[in-house]
Amino acid sequence: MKKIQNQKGFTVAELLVAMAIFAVVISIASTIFIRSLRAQRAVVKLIEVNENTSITLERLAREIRTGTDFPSSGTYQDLTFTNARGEDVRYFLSENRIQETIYGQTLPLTAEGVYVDNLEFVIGATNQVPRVTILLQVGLPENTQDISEVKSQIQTTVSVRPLNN
Amino acid sequence: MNNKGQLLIESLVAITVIVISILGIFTLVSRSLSLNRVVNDQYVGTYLAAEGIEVIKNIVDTNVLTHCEPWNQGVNTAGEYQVNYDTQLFGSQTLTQTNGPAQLNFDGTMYSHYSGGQPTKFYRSVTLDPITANHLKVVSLVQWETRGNANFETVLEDHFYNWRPTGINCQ
Repeated sequence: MKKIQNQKGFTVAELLVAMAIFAVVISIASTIFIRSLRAQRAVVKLIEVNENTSITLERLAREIRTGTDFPSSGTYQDLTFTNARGEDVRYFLSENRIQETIYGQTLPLTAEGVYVDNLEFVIGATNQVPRVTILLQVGLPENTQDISEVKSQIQTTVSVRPLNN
Repeated sequence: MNNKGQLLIESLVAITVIVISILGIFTLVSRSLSLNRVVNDQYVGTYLAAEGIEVIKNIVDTNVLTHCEPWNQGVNTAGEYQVNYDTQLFGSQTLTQTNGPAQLNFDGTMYSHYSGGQPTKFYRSVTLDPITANHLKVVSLVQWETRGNANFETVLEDHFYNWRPTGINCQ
């Protein structure tokens, strides 16, 4: 009997306390880890939004800058004009993606995860060199966790270079 | 018997190290989220600054091509100006001078200096500097403040020249 009593070991209380502490520490750590993972995913998506926006605006601005035959002054959600190669180009929004129609073919310019809420073109007065203001509201889909409220409202104006004059 | 407390100290040290490293990772990731907002603002600011330059370019081209005016008509006075997306200088219209960057308002779709919109954090001014009679320097400045009162600005500079004698091919 004495031998058994002298043996080192855990009591039930000690075991319970140890397990409780372990459980608390692990749950805190895993919560932080999962949140970090989620935030990381969000950051990657947001970077994608920015890159898509920038590359699409670059393309729009280039085509408009060297384009001709713009519609009369007003606000358009669907812009058709003739580009520098003499082809008809059309830009519009469909399924929250910016679409380009060229050579009779329509293809989206922005990626699937990029949510374009609004795309508008404002054409300036007619008694001046054509001027097109591009308006873009872009962000992530509404159901994205935590960060769907981050929407960028982008505006830039392009003055057409009158190459044929 | 005397080193019984060492186990506790060891485990405390271990837990501290783990907590610090996990917190470090967490701060890094959540900070990259907030930095992304800063990047977003930089995109918006840069495009707004580009707009200022393009509007001046448009005024110069319109002078020469559409109105048969001297190329720098209306943009030949040095100073800091407010420029909107639809600013035109036909006839007697002039640019509005400003003392430092002026706040841009957002009316639900567009940024402008017109009243009636929601004030934004972006301030813009376009500085004209006629270096010679044939050379105009344009500096477009956009300033804004992010959360935490950090100040940011985008400065774009462009140079326009008397690129075509007045009256040639003028419609």
